[in-house]
Amino acid sequence: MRGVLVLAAVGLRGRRRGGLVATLFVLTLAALGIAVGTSTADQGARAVDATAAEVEVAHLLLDGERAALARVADDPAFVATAGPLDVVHGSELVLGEDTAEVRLTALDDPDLAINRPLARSGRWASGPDEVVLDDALAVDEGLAVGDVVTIRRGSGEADFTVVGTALDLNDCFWPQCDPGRLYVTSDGLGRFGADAASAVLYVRLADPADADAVGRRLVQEEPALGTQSWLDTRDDILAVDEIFGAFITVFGLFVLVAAAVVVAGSNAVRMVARRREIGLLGAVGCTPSQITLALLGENLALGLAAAVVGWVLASLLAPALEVGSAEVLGSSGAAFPVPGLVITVVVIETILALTTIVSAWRAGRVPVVEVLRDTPPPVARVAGGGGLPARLSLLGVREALARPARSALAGLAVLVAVVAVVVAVGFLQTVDAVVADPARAGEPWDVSVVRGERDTQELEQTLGEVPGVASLWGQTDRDATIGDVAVLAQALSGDPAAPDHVLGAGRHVERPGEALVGYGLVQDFDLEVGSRLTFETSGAPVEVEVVGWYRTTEDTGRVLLFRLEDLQAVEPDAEPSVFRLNAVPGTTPEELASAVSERLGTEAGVVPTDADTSEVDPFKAVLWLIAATLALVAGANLAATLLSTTRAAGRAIGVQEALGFTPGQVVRERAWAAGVLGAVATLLGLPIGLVLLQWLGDQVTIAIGLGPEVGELPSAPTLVAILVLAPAAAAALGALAARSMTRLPTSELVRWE
Amino acid sequence: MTGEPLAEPVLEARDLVKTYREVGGGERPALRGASLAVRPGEWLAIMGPSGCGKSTLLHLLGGLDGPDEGRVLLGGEDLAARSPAERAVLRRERVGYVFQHYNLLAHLDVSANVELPQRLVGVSRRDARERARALLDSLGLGEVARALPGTLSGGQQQRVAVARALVNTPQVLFADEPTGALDSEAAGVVLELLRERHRDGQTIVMVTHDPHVAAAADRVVLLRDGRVVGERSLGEAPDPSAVVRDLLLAEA
Repeated sequence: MRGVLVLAAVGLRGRRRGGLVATLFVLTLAALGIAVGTSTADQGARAVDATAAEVEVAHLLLDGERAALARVADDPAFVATAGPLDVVHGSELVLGEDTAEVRLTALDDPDLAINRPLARSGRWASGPDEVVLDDALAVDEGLAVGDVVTIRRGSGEADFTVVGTALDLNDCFWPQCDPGRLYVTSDGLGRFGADAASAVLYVRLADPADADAVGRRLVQEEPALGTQSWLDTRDDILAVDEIFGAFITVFGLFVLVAAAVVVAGSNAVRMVARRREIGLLGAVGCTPSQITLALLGENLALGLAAAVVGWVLASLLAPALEVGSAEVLGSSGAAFPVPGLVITVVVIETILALTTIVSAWRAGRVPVVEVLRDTPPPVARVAGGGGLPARLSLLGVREALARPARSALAGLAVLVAVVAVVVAVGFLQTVDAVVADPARAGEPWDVSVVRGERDTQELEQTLGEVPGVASLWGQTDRDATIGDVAVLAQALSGDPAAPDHVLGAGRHVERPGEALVGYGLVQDFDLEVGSRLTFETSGAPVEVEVVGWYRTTEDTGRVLLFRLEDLQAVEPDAEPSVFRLNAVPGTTPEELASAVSERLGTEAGVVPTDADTSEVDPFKAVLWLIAATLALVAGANLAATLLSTTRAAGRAIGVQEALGFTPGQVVRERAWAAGVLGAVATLLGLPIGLVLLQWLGDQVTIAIGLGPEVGELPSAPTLVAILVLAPAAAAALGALAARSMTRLPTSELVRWE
Repeated sequence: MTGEPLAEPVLEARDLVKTYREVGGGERPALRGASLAVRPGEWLAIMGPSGCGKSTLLHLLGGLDGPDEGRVLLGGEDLAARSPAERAVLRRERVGYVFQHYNLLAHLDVSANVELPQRLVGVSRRDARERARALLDSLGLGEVARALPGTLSGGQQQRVAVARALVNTPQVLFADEPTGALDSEAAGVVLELLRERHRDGQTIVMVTHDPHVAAAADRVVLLRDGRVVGERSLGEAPDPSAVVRDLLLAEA
């Protein structure tokens, strides 16, 4: 064993510094690519769970009249409670000409036993004219401590000074969820001159999973109570993370596979280059197993160093790459997740071990005398024969055909780079397309108008008369169950042809008794067009026929659309809670919203659909980083591979020069060889990349409820650019590698080992 | 040396100095002012102990490397004054090389190895193939014209290497230990091949450590520590091998 360790140490020390640095660079980048994926994929969930533990989150929120809350406050299932706290709904924060819907909670002392708000800046409100703002709302609207804000409720208004900002986990974060949560003192709440309409009670249970059951039981006892479980809220908070996490996880898987190919390829090339050294070790009496173990130790030591460095870099980068809820909650600085390190080390070391053992075993099979002979390894057969090519510039191509394994490794490096670019570009285009077109994510409308207390028919008629409205329909949402599974049921009213959800199969709902379902339900219940489905809402069953499925990310596709008439059959008073409007061509959502507000005389409840992509910029930055890392790994690997294969051909280059090839001829010939290899690899890599992109894209879009076959393929110009640039890059790298060799004296090359 | 009027040298080395930089930062002088001249049609053998600079001198003479100091004149043209590309063109037109370990291009068959230098100087594919076939036939290698070098014996490979070096009828044929890797029978065949070409007027500069091989030359120079320390003419000697041995002993 000592001998093996000595050999490994000698091997490491004996490596050329440049080669050692190049090897470590490729390995470290591969490790970084893997570790970034593992570090960022679940950081949102980590941040949410850490915050929940810190504030001792309420497992169940009960909302209702104080008296009703008081009657259930001593329920034996409760482990701890806080409140009831007085709450005022239906208020607005005046933001210049706009308003934001807010909910005021009276909280004189924030140091609650459970579910305390998390102060983010400033201090807690102590006077009647002080307010603590929802931190996410403050950031979104550019409000800060010291600002004076106006809060409107009905016809009354009151000014408050912002003294602090805070976050709570009572709902997902602004602007994903509204209303924004504001905290004032009891006296502050009293400034609106009315008693609080309702209150909220925070409840901690022995097991958060019991929240739904406990909530249902309490609602049976007190039908006026509203309930919200922490697990549902957590799902809502992590909805964005879930979507982006699916992208990053699947993309990370690809990075892992690509890194495996890269590491395997570069290690195999290095081992081929060390064939003579292996022979020398055999000549001085080392056994094949000693040599294999020494090489294994040497490569594993390098791999371990690279994996640790890559993981540390990824961990340091992770706070700068926060997305979704992690971005809102903020990180507590760089986290160094051990599972990420384990995954990175295991992946890198496993690949290195396998390729080292295979290569060492192959090298060990060649007789020592053969390896040490001062001549290049013989070639037994050449595809296409051993004659001269028609053009001498293609001589390198002929040589590439003679060394298929070596050429395959170089080609593999190009192929991985091409596949990486295709997948990365496709992913980013898919994200852009889904974000830029809300209809593709399940929101096929330009403006939403909350009905509020307005008369339904009157409002519908008014909206229909607004210039620029092309179509409109009403919608109201209900919690529903299919068996034990909670789903969202959305009842539609008005023109059945108006909602234009993006269909995956079948058709839209045209009449009562029909339903259009999200892909999540298709998967969960094996539904297909024509299936009969019974769901329960408002305490009664509703039976419908599935006429199609549509693409939506809402509740990851566990949604169904049906006619309001079906809902009214079990809930006669049901009316649309919101109207969805589409604009005529040439009118933007903002212009339509403005026209609607003007017609209604208020901007409250008129919301244009937001196609702003800036919210996903951090997520795209992560994807870009991983893609760039991958491209860098592939590029570095390609350069290292071409350099290694060109160096291995050093003697042939020297002989060619001795025969009278000029340096320029050698460079051109090697560039052609690398370019042809690159072209072949690109032609193979493009379809492989497209198939892989389709498959990976389907995994993501199915996971987030959009269903399969929604991913974007890279555009034709992009594919043409890849087709041209990849071989050109390979040719350029081949030329650079050859150029470095032609700078050496020919006399040195003809003795090249 | 004879008393006949001397022809202009086809190849001349003047005060060649070459020092190699070693990995650790040190320097290893290979040539310390070596000079010699080769007349047209002459066969010069360069001898000397290992590490004396024989191969370095041969590489400088043939333009495979440039000297740190001194000049190499091939046909009156200073190689050191030419760019690498110009030296390459000059090599393909005026120089042939035979290496100890053949250095045939492994992925090209025997014929293609011989065709390649011709193609470099602009001979058409068909003409190059026909000339290669004729040359290989004359060397008894016609049957292996389509074989890859790795399938041939060492002697056969070296004969192919000689054919490749001669196919463009170079001004000077450089041979670096041409029999060093061969058994005595194969070495004899290769040596006889060089003799035949020399009889036809081929100028040859050969590095060897074998006195019997050196005895085939017209003249032998002895190199030690990077300098020419002695030389003998073998042309009229009744026992050239004895002259070579005498030179080696005298300068030991």
